[in-house]
Amino acid sequence: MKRPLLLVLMPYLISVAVKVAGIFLDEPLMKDSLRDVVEKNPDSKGNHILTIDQQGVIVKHLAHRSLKTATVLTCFTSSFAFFAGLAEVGKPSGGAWAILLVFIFGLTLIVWVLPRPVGYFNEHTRIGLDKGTLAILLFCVYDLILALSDVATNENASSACHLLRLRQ
Amino acid sequence: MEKGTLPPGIAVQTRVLDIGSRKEIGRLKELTRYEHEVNIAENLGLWAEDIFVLSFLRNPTQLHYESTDKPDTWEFLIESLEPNHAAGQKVELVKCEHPLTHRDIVEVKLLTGRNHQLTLSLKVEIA
Repeated sequence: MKRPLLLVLMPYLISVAVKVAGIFLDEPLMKDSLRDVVEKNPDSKGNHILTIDQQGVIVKHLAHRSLKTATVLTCFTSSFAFFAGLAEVGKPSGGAWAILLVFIFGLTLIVWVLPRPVGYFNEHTRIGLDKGTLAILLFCVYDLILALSDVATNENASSACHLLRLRQ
Repeated sequence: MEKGTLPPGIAVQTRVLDIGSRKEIGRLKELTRYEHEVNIAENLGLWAEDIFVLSFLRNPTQLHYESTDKPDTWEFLIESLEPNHAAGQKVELVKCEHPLTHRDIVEVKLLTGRNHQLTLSLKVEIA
């Protein structure tokens, strides 16, 4: 059965939107939150416990951990949406290859991101972006590839159903 | 290039560069000067760190430092590297003489005030 296009794309679009928002919002929000805690909790002499630099270091550690979580979630949620789509429309031609490619791409992302030490994703690449932003953009590409594959599978299934009805 | 991370989270890189183009060189030519660079990135620990850096050349007759006290040793101290701050790039001139073994190792040892250690062994070829 053919699913509406919006329904097919929705999980991927939400996933991409969350990641893009994360690039711009995660670190500033973490910094604000930490600054807020520090300012409201001075020690007995009225000194703030953590300096701005120490807060910066903590935010970098948190952002690094958050990127690792995003990697695992991307690989699970998008792959799950894709496999669920495949299961719903029946086995399309080339479906096994698509699943294998998706699996390898997801695994590559995990193997690249998870073992990296803190600070690795703050390094700048030759194209001017830091590695963390580049990783998140790669996850978005992963989501978009899965979304396009899902749409194609859905369209193929719909054509097959239509042909079957015509024969009957 | 050889890189590693000094606990509690200070990335360190070492490489040999061409003086003019500042491109990384893996194969050194005889009777040529190069820059040996040690790059110490941000301190991602919560406390300031003192870092002692000692670079050692195994065969100073074929590869030696030009302006250090000893031709086989380059050492410096970074005092109180604050959290979230980088020490940046430190460079020293190194000269390649006539090749003896055609291979050499530039060994960089780093030691922090809290007794954390890191050793980087940069392999270079000498033409």
